[in-house]
Amino acid sequence: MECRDAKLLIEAWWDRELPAEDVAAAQAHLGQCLACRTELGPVTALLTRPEPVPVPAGLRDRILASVQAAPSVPADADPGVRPSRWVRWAQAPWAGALAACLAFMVMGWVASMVRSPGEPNAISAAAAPSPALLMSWAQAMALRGQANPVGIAAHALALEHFTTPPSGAPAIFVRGRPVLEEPKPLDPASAIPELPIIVVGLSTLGA
Amino acid sequence: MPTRCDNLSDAELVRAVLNGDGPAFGLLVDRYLPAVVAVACRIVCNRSDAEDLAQDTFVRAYQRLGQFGQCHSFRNWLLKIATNLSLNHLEARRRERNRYPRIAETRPETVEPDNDAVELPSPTQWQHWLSKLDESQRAAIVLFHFHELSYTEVADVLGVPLNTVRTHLHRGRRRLRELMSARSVRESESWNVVMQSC
Repeated sequence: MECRDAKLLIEAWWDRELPAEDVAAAQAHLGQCLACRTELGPVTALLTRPEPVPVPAGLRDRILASVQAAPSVPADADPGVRPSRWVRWAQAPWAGALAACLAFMVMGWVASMVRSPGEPNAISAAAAPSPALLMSWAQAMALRGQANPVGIAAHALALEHFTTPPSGAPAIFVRGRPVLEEPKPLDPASAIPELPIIVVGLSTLGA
Repeated sequence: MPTRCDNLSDAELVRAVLNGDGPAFGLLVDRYLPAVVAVACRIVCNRSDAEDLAQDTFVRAYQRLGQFGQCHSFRNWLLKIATNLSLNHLEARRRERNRYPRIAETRPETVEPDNDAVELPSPTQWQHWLSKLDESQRAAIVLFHFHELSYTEVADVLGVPLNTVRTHLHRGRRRLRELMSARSVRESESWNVVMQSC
């Protein structure tokens, strides 16, 4: 028998998938081939003929005594289930340091996003719509005669801006964050060029 | 002397214990104590720890006997508890070693065998080889080879997919081959004598 074939037989033997006659053939090859015996002999002996482990004297009585004295536990308690991988990682010594680093990074990012009043915010300047634009959107939505939550929200924002006195509270929200800047004074003349563009654009929506 | 209870199945004994028959649990202990001790000893590679773990296994099994599903194997359920407790014990010992390295150095570990003194592989040497394996590989090999659980049963006990069990077994065996093939030709000839005497 070739060593390559013998190794396949031996591995099947380890998996308990080998018929008895083939087990004898594998054993015979191990007895004849020094190379295979050196490589696979000790492992085969370990896996196929494990040494028994003796039971310590008195252990049975200790167990029964412990069982009698054991406190009762809730019926739904886990019978020795191993904690999940995430729980074990959370218990690792480095987990606390990593969590602290992440917390500091998040706090730094939040602090960098907060702007004092008057300090220009590049994001808000680029993305915040003007009140006139919001009013235009709201009017266009109303003209379409559809109940549109976007239009309703825009109309409400615009009404809030034009009906309430400036109090320093943010009137413009970008991505849910208040933009801490004074709203620009309304210039009806500057809003007119935007209205046709918005109406044309919105009229094509939802067709 | 065989008694009437010796012929009862595991499920019947469990029902008897749940109905208040305390001595029936002693029969379950008698049946599975050797297997539980062997699993614990082979996974943690420390006999004194294995005794404590075996005791904890049966105490926990007794406390949670009501959770045992009668359609499952009581033996596998018990081995699952023993395996999980053993692996948890190893993790706790590793955390202690990392946290208090000086104290861990004084803790008695498995006795290192004198590799040059024996010709035939001794039980102590088998423990030595198993202790060189990764814990997951060691548990898979112990359950599959030493306790003859199937792949599916090993996957159920370890709580991992079937392919993971195959991977653990494959890598564990390969690691054992690398470690043990470094032994001398003289010892392999001694092994040949042992196999022929079977």
